[in-house]
Amino acid sequence: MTPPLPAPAPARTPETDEFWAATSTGRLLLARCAQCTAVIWYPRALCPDCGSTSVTWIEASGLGTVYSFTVVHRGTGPYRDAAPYVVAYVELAEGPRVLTNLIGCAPDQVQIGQRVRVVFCDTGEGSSLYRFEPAEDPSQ
Amino acid sequence: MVIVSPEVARDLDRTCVKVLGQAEAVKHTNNGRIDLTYTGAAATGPRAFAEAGVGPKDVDYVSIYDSFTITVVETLEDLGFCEKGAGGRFVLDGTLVAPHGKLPFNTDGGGLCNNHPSNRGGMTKVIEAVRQLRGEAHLAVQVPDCQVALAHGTGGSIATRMGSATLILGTEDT
Repeated sequence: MTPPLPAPAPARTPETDEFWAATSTGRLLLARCAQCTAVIWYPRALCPDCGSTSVTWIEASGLGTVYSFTVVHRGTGPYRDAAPYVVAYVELAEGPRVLTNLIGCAPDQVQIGQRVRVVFCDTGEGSSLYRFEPAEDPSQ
Repeated sequence: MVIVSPEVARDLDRTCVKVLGQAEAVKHTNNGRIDLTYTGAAATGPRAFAEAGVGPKDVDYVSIYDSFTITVVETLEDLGFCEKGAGGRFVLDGTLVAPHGKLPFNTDGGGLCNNHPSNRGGMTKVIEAVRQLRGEAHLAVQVPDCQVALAHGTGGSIATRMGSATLILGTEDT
């Protein structure tokens, strides 16, 4: 059994402060353009689709599917002793494909298309990292 | 690398190669809807071939940036050397082996066996393509009668924010 993945605190900026603050209360926020309704990823104050600066927050469902993944066998930095672990792109139900980790399942059990849900890993510094775990029992 | 006009090239005491066509493109994250199944070569390949007036079947040698296996396989597909999704099968059975494979490839050894000079991997690809066209590659891998060569560089974050460049070169006679 490998130890839990480390959860180093992210760098926060004025544009992302509300996003990270929400993670500490177990909510995944997505920016959405009030002009063209595009869901924006990564969070920012400008819509990359239409250029509008009228951007608001919505709360994500936290559900998604695995778009692609890789298993890291030699981590670096804070992840040096964490291998093997899974780095994945998860396609959120709202559209964006986000870079993340899959936890709560063996790396060799991960499959493209697998349904996952968000979980939050406390950094201890007023934020949590959004990661994903299987949304259903893989044996079923 | 020295690039000169045809007038200057005529008086040079050195075998020259011609720039037949080229294109550059930048891929972006598409507002978080990334697509890992294609590269910037999907944009640069058709434009470079159109400018050169040749097609994939005319290419005698390719230098393709080879950071990872998937980089090469997707680039071969996107440049039109095989159908999309058929790259894995395409490279089986010695297709890329010089000098007599169907599409001799990276005869300098590529990034793993020969070079990866920081962010200048694209330049080394051009250098080996020029060697092939001049007939100055290593004897063991020199492609016989090499007339048209393609060099392709990839940079940035692969598949999400990559920059791609395709260069098609020919001998002085092309």
